[in-house]
Amino acid sequence: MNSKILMTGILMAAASLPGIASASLVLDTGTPTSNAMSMSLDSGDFYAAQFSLAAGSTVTSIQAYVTNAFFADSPGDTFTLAIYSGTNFLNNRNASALFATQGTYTGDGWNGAGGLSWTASTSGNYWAAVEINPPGDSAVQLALPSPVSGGTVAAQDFAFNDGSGNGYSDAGALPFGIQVTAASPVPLPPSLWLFACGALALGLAARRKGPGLLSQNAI
Amino acid sequence: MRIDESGSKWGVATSVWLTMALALSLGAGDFAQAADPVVFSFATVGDSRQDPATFDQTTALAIGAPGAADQASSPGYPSLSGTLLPQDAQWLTSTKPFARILRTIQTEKPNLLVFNGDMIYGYGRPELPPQLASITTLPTLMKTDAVFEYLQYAFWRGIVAPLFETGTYVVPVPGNHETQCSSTKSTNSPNNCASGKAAYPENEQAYLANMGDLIEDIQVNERFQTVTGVAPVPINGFTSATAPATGGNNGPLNANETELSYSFDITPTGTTVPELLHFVVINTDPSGADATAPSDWLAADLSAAKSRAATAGAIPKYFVFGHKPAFTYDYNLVNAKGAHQTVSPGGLDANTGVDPSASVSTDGVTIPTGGNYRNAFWGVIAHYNATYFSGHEHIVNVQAIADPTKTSTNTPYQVIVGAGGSPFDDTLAPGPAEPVPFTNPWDRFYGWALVQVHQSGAVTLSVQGFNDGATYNTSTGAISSLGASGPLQLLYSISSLQ
Repeated sequence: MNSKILMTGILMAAASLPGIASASLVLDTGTPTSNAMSMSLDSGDFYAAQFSLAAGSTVTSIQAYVTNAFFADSPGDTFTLAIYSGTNFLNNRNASALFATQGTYTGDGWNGAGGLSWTASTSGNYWAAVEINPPGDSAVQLALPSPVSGGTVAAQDFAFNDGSGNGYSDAGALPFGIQVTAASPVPLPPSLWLFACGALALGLAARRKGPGLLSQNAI
Repeated sequence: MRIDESGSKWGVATSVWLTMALALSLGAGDFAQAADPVVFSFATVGDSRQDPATFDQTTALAIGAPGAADQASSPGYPSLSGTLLPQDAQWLTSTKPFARILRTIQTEKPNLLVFNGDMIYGYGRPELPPQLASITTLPTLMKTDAVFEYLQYAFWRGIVAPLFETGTYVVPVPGNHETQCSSTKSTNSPNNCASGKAAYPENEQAYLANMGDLIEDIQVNERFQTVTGVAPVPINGFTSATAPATGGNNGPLNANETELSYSFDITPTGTTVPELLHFVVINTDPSGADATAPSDWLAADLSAAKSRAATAGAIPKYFVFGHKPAFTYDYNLVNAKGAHQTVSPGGLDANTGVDPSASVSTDGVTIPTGGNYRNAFWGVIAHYNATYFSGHEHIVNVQAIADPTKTSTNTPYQVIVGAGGSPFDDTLAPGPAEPVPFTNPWDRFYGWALVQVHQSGAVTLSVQGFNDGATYNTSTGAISSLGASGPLQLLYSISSLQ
C-alpha cells in the first residue's frame, strides 16, 4: 500500500515537472531539390533565415542542409549555428548573436546541433544563421544547396553576409535548407498544482512508513 | 536484492552503451577514412582590368552633385545611369568584384593563385614616348603609355599583396592587354603601333619589369616556399636556352620569350602515392606570333615532365595556363535586333594563319595539326590529358573538349575563368537587358576556379562566383532591379579533373 502511494506520488511529481513539453519545428525551409545553385559557406560567407518565436520558447535543435560540394571537408568539421535578434539585424555590421553553438558535419544532408536549451525572453522575429567562426575550422568550406522545397514552416526572409563589412543583407539572398526546433513553455499554474499534489503524496507516504523509509530506499 | 538487481541491470545497460559507443566510433572511423584530405591547392582567375570607356553598366554608381541638397542622400548605390568609380577610372582595375574574389580566395588558403593575364588595361607601347620633348605638364607625362602602364601594374601588385601574407603565392600569366599595343589606345605620338592590335617586345619587357620578380622567385625561392610551404623546381623558360624558340608550331616569334612562357614542378607531401604536379605558363600573344601557343615547346616540356615522373615513381598531373582560350566559348550574344549571333573566335582559334608545320611529335606519337595552331596545341594537351586554364573571355565556362586531331581519345578540360572583374562579354545589349533565353545562367557571374589535389591523388575542381547584382525578367531579359552582388555560389563542380 505504501509503495503504491509512493509510486503515485513520484509519477505525479514527475509528470508535473515544468518545461517538459513537445518540441516542434518553428522553422523548416525545406530540403534542397538539387545542387544546382549551391552557396559557399566559408569563413567569409554566412547565411541566415528569419523565423518567429514565442516568449519562453526553448530552442532545442538547429539543423542546416550542407554538402561537401567543394571537396574540401571531412566528417567532424565544425561550423557555427547562431541566433540573432530580429531587430536591427540587416545591414548592421555590429550585430551580435544572442546564442551560438557549434554544429558538426557528418556527411551530406542535415547537420547541426541538438540538445540545445536557449530560451527566447521575448516574442518576436529572430534569425537563425549558419556561419564559420572560431573555434570552427577557418579552412572549412561547405555548400548550402538551393533551391529548396517541401518545407513546413517557411522562412519570413533570407539573408547572406559576404564579408563586405556591412553585415547581413537580404537583397538577392537565396533560400537554403534550415530547421529550428523549439519547445513551447508549459503553463505554470497547473504545473505547480500537480507538483504540489505529488509532493503531498510523498510526504504522507513517508509519515505512515516511519523514519526508515527514505533512508532505506536511498541505499 | 533490489540493489543487486539494479546493479545487474546497470551492468547490462552499461555493456549495451559501450557496445553502441564502440560501434559508433568504428563507424566514425570508417567515415573519416572515406574523407580525402587536400594536400595542395591552387586558385586561378584572370581579367581584373577595368575599361575606362565601355565598363559594364551594372558597375556604375550613382553620385550626387557636389554641394547639392541631395548629395548626402546619394550613397553610391548601383545605377545604370551612374558613373565609373574614380578609383577604377584612374587605375583601371575593377576593384569591387576583384577584391571580393581575392577576399574569398584568402579564406580558402590555396597554395597558389595563378592569374591568367589582363591585370592591366595596357594596350599602349611602353617605350620612351616619341613626343617626350614636347611634354610640358606632369599630367600629360603620367598618361604616356609607359608611365600609365607602370602605374596600373603597381596598383594591381598592391591589391594582390595581402595574399602572400595568408599563404598564397601569385603566379602571373601574360595577357594580350599586357603584351599588345592597340593602335586606337596608345597615346604615343606619332602612334607607332601597327593597325589593330599586335604584341611588341617593349610590352613584354614592361610586363617582366613589373612581374619578373614573381617568376624569378620560382628559381631563387626567396619567398615561394615560405609562403606556400612547398618548394618549386624550375624547369623550362627561365633562360633563353630553355624558352620557346621561333618557328614551327611555336610560331614566328621575334623576341626573347624568357620568363614569358615557363614551367615548374611541385611535389606535394602527404599523398598516398607520389605525385608530380607540373605547372606550365604560356604566352598566347607573344611578339611576332599573336594568338598562338608554343606547341612544340610545350610538347617537349610535357614529355620531359612525364619522364621525370616515371623516374621518380610518381604520377604526373599537368596544369597549363594561358590567357587566350583554345576554343572560344559561344555565349548568347545578340545583335541589335535581339537575334542570336555566334561569337567570333577570339582565342587561339582566332588565328587563321597557316602553321607551316604539319605535325607535332611528342612522347612517341605524331599529332597531325592540319596546319592549325589551335589543333596543334589541343592535340598536345589531349595527349597528356592536361587541364588548360585561360581567361580573355570575361566569363566562366568549363568544357571537356575532344582532340580535334583525333590522335588521342582523351577529352581534357578547358576552364575559362576570365571573369575577374572586367566588363562582361555577355553585355547588356541591346539593353539594358540580358539576352534571352539564357545560354547559361553563369554568363554574367564573376568567378574563379579552385583546384584541389587530394591525398588519394584525386584532382577536383570547383568554380565559384557571384552575380552582377541585377535581377532579370526571365521573359524579356530586362533588368527589374539592380543591387549589390548576390551570394557566393558554386558554378561548376568536377570530382575528377584528370
